Amino acid sequence: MGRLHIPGLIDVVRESSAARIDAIARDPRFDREYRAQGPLLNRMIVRNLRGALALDGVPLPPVAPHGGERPLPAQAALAARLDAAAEAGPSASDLVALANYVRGEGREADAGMLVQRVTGALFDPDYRADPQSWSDAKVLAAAPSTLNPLRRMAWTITGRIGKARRRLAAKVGNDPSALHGTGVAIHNLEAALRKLRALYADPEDRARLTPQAATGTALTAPRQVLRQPVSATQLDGANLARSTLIVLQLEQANARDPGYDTAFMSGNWAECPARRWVPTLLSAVWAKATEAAP
Amino acid sequence: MLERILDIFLGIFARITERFAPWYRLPFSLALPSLAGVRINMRTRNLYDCETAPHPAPPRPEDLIHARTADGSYNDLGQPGMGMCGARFGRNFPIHNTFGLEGEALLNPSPREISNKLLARDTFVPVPHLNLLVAAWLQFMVHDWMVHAPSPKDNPHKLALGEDDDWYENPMSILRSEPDTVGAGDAGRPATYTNTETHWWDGSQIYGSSLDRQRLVRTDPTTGKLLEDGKIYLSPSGNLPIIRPENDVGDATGAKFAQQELAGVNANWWIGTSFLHTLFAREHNTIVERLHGEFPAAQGEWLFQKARLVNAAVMAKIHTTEWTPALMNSVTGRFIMRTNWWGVAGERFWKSFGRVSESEIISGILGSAPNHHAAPFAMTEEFVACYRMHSLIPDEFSFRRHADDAEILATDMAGVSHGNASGIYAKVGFDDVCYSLGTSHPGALVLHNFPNFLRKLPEDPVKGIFSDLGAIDILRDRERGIPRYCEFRRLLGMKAPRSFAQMTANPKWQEELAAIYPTVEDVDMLIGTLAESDGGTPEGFGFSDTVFRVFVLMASRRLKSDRFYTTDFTPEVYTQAGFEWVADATMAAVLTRHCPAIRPHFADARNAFFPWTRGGDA
Repeated sequence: MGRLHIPGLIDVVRESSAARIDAIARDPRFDREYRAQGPLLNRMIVRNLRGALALDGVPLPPVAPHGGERPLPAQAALAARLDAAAEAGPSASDLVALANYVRGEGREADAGMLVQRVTGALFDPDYRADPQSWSDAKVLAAAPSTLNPLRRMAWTITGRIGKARRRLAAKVGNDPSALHGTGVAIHNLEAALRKLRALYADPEDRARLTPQAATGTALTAPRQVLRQPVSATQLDGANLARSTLIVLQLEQANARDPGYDTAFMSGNWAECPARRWVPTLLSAVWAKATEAAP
Repeated sequence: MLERILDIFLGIFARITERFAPWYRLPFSLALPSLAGVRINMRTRNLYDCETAPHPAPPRPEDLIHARTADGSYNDLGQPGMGMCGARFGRNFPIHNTFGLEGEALLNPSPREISNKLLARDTFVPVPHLNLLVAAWLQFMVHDWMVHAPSPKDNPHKLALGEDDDWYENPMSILRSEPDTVGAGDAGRPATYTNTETHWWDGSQIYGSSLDRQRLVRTDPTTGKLLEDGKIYLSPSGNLPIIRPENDVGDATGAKFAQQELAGVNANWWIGTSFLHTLFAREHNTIVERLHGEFPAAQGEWLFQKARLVNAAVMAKIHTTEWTPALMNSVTGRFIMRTNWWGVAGERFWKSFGRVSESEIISGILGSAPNHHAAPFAMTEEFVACYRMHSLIPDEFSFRRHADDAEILATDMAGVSHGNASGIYAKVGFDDVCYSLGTSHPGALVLHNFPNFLRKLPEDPVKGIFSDLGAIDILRDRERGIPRYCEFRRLLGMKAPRSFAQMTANPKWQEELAAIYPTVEDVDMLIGTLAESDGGTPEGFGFSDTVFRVFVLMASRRLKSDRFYTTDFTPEVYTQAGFEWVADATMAAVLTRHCPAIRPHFADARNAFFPWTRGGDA
């Protein structure tokens, strides 16, 4: 655990151990209430996050506080839908398209629209991904963490974030979970698909990696998620204020201690509903791509 | 704080120097800090935990401070299941780099073809500057540290053989490794494997890794009663007892072979391991007698536990300060391993003044603060792979009389393995077995030097079932996710060869490798380390620089993680007499205690693992 605390400016605790992340994620003293209090940068970060990842002023489920009920009904329904999709497997056309991408067809940058279309189709069978929707997804994903004042000013003046969110939401019937899936979480799936393509390009990896191994290798965890203490408390002997931001560095933890648990925060209230669908999809894609590999 | 700064400096220094030349090509004054830095870097980057939940520990024992538990639990009091028997092997490489191979990738190139064309011994290539106790010691230590769970008999790998192969069956069957049960946290991770022995350096090859086994070696088989004096049972002639089928507790290879001797671990038994197991069982009993003299009122159980602590430390010391330096017979090699025990201050200073610094570099690891570094302590699969050193074993054995060097018995590996080992003592005698091992040479770790007996190892001669250990060694590494040679080196922070010519200076080997492997990237780790012997091994070293990197990390880790070699390496825990016993211990001292008649043969050797004076020359 590391802490950066400059009174008045920033107060951030970073944790990159998978076991400690799991413990903090389960600890009821830490939640996602995201109060814009305390040091300047803490307030900016929280405002950015709340401003970007909300629909009609309501936080998207994956960044919503614990509240009285968990899992949220919408998240539970989504998890059930994704589990069913995992059980059924991807459609033949999606599988071929994704496998062809992994085999090196098309441009490397095509991964984004490809996975956005496949993911969007879970919520709307007629979902169409295009350069605009992928660009919107990139803006929405970058918005919570961008502190660059010039970029933020430009986005504020042009209303870029709000427009991106509205367009993406409209494509999925204003479903907040689907908006998060096709606009934010999609980037982890895109990164995983790119990794599969890179693995396939290496003849040795192509020959040696089983679908399970390729999936485990390519799976990409979110870079980080945030928590705040629900009240002033202590963590490992350090005094934390309600405004202290606790950064759970999932990507770093997963690189050192990989597995689905860390990547999807399995087993706690913030568990990702795609915990089964994503590995199943990646495994199927790798199997398809390598079934007649040279 | 100062030590931390020194670590950072040495780590950076190593990264810089390694860009230009490996440590062994540097002068001593640069090689030493470079090697120290290599270890520091590896402690951060090359230790990974495979447990996804803490290994469950048994109930807390009565005395967990002053004695080792039979199963290795409660060494680390904060994580009592760490390193105990049944815990998973760890890894030296990031977990996502350790997925095992399956299907065609597992079987190509054919492990059997590699065994036939690259491993099979043409003529025995000895290491003239070492004696055969080196090979025996290696296996003796391996028995202490690690044994994989037995393979299930069903659904073996099937390896299709070429038409010209004379193996008794086609396809060849090789049993699969038994992976650990998958838990909730294992999704998305490679298979893991468990150690049936304790991971700690605790003498479990002598004492077993369960209370049942421990009681068995302490029990008189004729009466069935536990020895009350704290000793291990030895026959009236001072040999290990023959294990009786009805007494086999079933946690290790037991009475599978007739006349098999009983020990804490008695798998892969041959005369070399038999000799060392017997020697250190005798050493245990001598330590008990010494402690009994010091503490006449002490109970047998207390004496047993103290003697175990001391005996394990004696073995750890011999390995650290004698065996390893013998295999790393260069000024730098010898110095770096001895500093693990005494620090750069050296043995004389340590004995005179004890620890003068908290720094392990200055005063050694013994008695320093424990540290698991980047992961909880466990033996690693990569370490297991590096210890695949079957080429050390000769195919032929000559037992000779120490008085005149006259041959008493000539036999082959079959004649000295499993149950046949116990029969050797009746024909040759314990002293002459020792003399014969001390005056013979181990095989060199090079291509074309794998013992042919082990390439057709009888598993069940009655049914005509054999194993090719060479092929199995190759397949096991692939199955357990050991990266191929080039990737293995890169993951250790080393440069990888880009061609067969860069891998080995031997033109014939280059051709042979190219005939089997499509590219240099495909070469198996074991094969690469054997090929590296020609042109890539530090001068005086008995093994490659590649495996040495893993050893330099793990050799210190076995000490640095263990409470009984760090905070509890004190006269209070070991007793003053026990502490002094360890301080005075050398392999020569142990041999002198138990084989005094042959002392003249090793008295002049640098240490007991170098060649001894033969017969009438002594």
